[in-house]
Parts: sequence; structure tokens; C-alpha cells
Amino acid sequence: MIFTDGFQIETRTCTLRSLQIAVQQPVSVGGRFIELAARWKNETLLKSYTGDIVLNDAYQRILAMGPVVVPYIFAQLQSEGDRPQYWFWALERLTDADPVPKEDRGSAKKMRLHWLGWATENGYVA
Amino acid sequence: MSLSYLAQYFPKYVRDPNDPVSPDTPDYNCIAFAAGDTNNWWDDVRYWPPGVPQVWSLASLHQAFATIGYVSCGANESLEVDFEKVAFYADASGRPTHAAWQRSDGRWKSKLGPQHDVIHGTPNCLESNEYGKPVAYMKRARQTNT
Repeated sequence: MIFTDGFQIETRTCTLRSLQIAVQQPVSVGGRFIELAARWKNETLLKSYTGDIVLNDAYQRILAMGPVVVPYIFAQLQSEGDRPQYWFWALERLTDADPVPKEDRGSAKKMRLHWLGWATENGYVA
Repeated sequence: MSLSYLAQYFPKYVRDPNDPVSPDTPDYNCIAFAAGDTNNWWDDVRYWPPGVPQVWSLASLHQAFATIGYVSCGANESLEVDFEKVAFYADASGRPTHAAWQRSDGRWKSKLGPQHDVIHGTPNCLESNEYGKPVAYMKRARQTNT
């Protein structure tokens, strides 16, 4: 650009298009949870060892979401009926609670009932 | 669930369409099923027989099955009429992955994680990336005729 007094400055132009800014859509907690839960189920479909099931990457990412994900886990646990997946390890760590007596730890059905009872007492489910 | 996924995981497994398949259930895993317990999920995290070290290893599995009368029988997977056998699978590092139980007709039966149980001709039918291969066997006097 040249001004009337002869002063010249350089200008650079850029366009928004050339910047190609990647705008990411925000992902809701619920959406992220559903996505990771599906991945976890698929990747641990045939696993027999609980250590392999809970150390799965998708499960760990759910755990890393923190306490905000707890209501979603309880909703999922409720929906699974008498075929619950092993959410209990994550719940123990996210809530710092352990409502399951030692003698019931081998039964997913019983663990589910203990946890849903705890969730009711603590206002997570109606 | 459709059974079509089995071919993807177990290339050596061919299912006989006449064989029954149980419903899928998270109540018990392959280890519990091989031990005859359909009420508990057997591993060192959830349920483990009292007195057995809380370790996930073949040695620990041997001790767990010893509590219910099994003794080691080396690599002998053949049918012995008066005995029932279990096969333990492990990955390349020797870590346990699966267990199967031998029926009285000589075929084997496996619970697949939290999925259903299936019948297979030999332990090698489930050799795969998922379960590795059968590496050890135990036996005890047969208690059921199924």
C-alpha cells in the first residue's frame, strides 16, 4: 500500500480459506461415553480376564472423563438388565465407594444390584 | 447375537449347526465354566478359590483347579473315559487367556468371555490371536456325563 506522502508499507493478505482452520464440533459427555462404551464392548467381546477388560484403552478413557460420567454409567448399567457389563471397577474409582460385599464380587448380577442401590441412595437414579 | 463373528476370531473353528449354543451371559467366564461353576466369574479380581494366590498365571490356575480335584496331565488332550479334562490357553508370553472343558463324547466346550458357550472338536479349534493356543491340561474323575 502506498500513501499520498509516499510512505509505503507492506501488506500481507490472508484469507480465512487459506488458513483452513479446523473447527471441531464439541462432543457432549453423553455422546463421548456412548462412543467409548461401544468401542470397549467390541474390543473386549471375548475377554475372560477382568484385568484385560478394565485396562482396555476405551474403558480407561471413560475413567479419565472423571465423575461427570458417573450418571451415564448408571443409566447404562440400568439399561443392561441382568446382563451387565463390568462397570464396577470404574465406578469404584470414580465414586470412591465400594458397596459390594466380598461374597458377591463374583456375580455381575449381584454387583449390579448393589451398585444401583447405592446410586439410588446417592441420588444418581430415581 | 449372530454367531457369524466366530469365524473372524477363530479361523480354525467350524461350527456344527446342530450343536446347541447357550445364551450369552456375564454371570461366569470360561474359567468358571470349565470348573463347573455358572454363578461366579473366576479370576483373581472377582472370584478366586480361597487359599489360591491372587495372581493371574498358569500356576495359579493350576492351584485353583487343584482345589476342585484336578491334577495335571501334561499335554494329554485325548479322551479318557473315566476322566474329565480342562485345557488352559495362553498367549505367546505364557499369560492365561482361556479355558475349555472336555465333554464325555471327547469334544470340548468353551464359554467365550461374557458371550455364549460353544462346542468344538479339539482344543486347537480355538487357537487364535485372541486366545493364543492350548498349553496345559488337567483332569479329574468324571463327575458329569454331559
